[in-house]
Amino acid sequence: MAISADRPVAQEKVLTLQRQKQQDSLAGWLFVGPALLFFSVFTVFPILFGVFLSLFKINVTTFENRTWVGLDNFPKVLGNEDFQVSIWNTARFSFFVVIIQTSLSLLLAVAVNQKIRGRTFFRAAFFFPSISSSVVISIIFLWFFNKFGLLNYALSLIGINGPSWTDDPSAALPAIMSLNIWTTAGTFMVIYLAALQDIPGQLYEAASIDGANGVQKFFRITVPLLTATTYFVVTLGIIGTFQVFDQAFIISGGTGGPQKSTLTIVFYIYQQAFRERNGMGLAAAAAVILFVIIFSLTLLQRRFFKTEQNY
Amino acid sequence: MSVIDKTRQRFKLTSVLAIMTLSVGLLLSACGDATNTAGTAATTAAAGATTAAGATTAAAMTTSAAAMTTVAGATTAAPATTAAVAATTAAPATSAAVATTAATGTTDFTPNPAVTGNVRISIAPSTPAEDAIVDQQLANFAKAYPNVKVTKEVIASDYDTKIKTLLASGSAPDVFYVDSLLAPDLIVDKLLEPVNSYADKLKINLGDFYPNLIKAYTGPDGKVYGLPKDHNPLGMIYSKELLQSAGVTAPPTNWDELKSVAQKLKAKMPAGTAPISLPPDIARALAFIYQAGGAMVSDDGKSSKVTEAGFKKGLDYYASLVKEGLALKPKDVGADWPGDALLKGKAAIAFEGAWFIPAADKAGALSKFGFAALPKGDQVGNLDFTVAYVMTAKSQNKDAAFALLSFLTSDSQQKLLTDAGLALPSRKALTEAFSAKFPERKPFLDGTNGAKAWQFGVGFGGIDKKVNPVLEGVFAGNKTTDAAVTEIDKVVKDTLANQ
Repeated sequence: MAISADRPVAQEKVLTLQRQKQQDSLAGWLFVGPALLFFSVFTVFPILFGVFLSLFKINVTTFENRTWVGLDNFPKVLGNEDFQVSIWNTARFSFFVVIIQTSLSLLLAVAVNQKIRGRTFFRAAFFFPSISSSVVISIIFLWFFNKFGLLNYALSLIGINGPSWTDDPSAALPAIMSLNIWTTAGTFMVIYLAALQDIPGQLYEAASIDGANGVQKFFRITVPLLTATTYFVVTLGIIGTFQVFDQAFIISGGTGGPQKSTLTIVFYIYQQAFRERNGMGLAAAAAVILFVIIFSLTLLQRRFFKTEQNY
Repeated sequence: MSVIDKTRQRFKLTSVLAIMTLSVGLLLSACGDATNTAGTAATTAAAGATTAAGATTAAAMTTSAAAMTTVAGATTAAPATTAAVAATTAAPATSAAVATTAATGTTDFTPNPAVTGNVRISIAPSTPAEDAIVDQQLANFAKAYPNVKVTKEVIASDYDTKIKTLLASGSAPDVFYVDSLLAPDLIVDKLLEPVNSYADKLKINLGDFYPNLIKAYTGPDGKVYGLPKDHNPLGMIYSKELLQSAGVTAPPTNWDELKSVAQKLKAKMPAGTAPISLPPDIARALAFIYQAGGAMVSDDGKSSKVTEAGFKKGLDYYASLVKEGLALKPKDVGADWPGDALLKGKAAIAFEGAWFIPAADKAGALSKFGFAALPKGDQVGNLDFTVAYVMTAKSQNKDAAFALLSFLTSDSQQKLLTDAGLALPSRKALTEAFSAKFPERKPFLDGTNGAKAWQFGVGFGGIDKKVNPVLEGVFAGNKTTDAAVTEIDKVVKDTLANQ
């Protein structure tokens, strides 16, 4: 206090404020510290480390003996036929799944948002696949899609002779698509449901007074006001579908077959990393490429939706 | 709702590059066991490899059942139907066989109770019965070595991948199964401990094992890196009833006979079935390629032999069975594997190993099937699948680990497996007793003649997963065998180039 007594009052105030500010920021850092630590250790570091790995030829079991290859892994991966097949498979998968799951979850959300009998039951029922283990679901679907499984039995009732879904190169990927849509539509339905409840009721009332019918209200009010949610759902959908692995792994029995028709990008990465003797570097390079793909798709989308984002 | 969003979002972000997260496991491995587990766990979760556990059942059933041994219940012993064969081979009595082994002094080495320590062992049992036998062997071990504590870990699926990640993170078990296909990779990468000096110490003679099996686990340095626990070559399994109904009195013995028998069968069999159940699997097609004098990789594991005439000839024959409508793949008839197709009555002939026996026994149908040698091509050829117990180079307790591994492959313990009707013994001394007890399985024992180990050299672990998609294309009629040869040649050359 002896020192401060010499100073003008204004300067003293500034100092106190600065000290306060320092303390505040310290507290702030302390609060975000744990999360930041986890984020750095489990997200930022692995990402950077993955980029680092992509510059070497590495055997997963003898990590120490890696050889520097620079950017050589990238043309190698891009030129690899299996990788090209996996990109094509994943792109098709993503395209159909995102479109169908987004529209389906919106429709489901609108449906269970109505004042209908048993809507809590329907909400729970639609959401249920999302909280079940995708491994368990995939195994159940293996039987469902079997040549003599439930699906083909149902089809036979209407006179259709179904293929052996998991064993037909043209049917295996669509089978996984439908499985994926079934499991994820519920999650996105919940997201849409929350957003639907945020839309002010008076908008619909006003529209009704102006003589709008249900369809008009849906396309002129509901859909535009859900743009931000749709952006979110589509982004998550693209990220999720580009990373599809577990369902393809199980449905194909760990092979990515038949005839590589269910070989996805992450499956390719897995194969390179763990089934090849010196493939860890190639796997990391493929992962970096996957990152670039997902990142650019997300950026593209931001332009496409061009609206203020809530998320 | 926001919680779900955020968790989901975080999960997605974390796994944006699944592979990068995987690397955490590697790094953390340096920090010791506890962190390690966490790292590996995170890894697997992010990669979506969580599926592995579930997938195992399916994968194990469809593909490499071959590489594993199987247990047949004791009930399978010498079914009356095969009495004819029994008469010829039954001569050397079991006691005689035991006497031989006793004389050579290899039966049961004297255990050294002074050996102490903790040992972890990982196995990939193909059936619950095999698991139970290993438990029994471990109980015997506990009696012989009271001061060694053994922890058993069962890895249910995608075994090779799991073992490789465990090795990578430094948390591999001390003793574990290694399939012959993967052995060269692990040996060259110095992940396994040679057993020679330990065997000398315990006076265990490696010459008591079949040399071709020991060779599969011999490194370029001439040292032996594992003791084969048993083995299984391929044989022909046929439905006696279906063959009889087609008027076939003896199983086909060569390629031409196989086709004519299949044609006769085809006339008798209903739609939706096929005379032969044939998988698009190089682990079966290769036996036919060997019979045509071909090979996939040179014996030194250094060059591709795919473009040589024998490979295409064998593949052509294999594929022609499908093209001529004589064979269907198991999935086409709603079966998991060829043996399953036989048991479901959807096929009459399959080329599998003795692992079919426990499956048939379990279905109570063993007596309906006969066994014969693979039909012969230009020459005799077969594949021999073997699994060995190995020990990790980084094991902290190698004496105890070797005590366990040698105990499990000793005459008395291996006899538990083979007596139960499991795979064929890897020890010469047990063979006579085995053929006396299971005379009907002689074709499998004979299948070892002219058989090559299921192994190609360094870098070829998992080669079947890369070649089989090409064979699937051939089976589906999307690819000619010429195109398949070009593609497989590329796969082999790429594999060689990447070492």
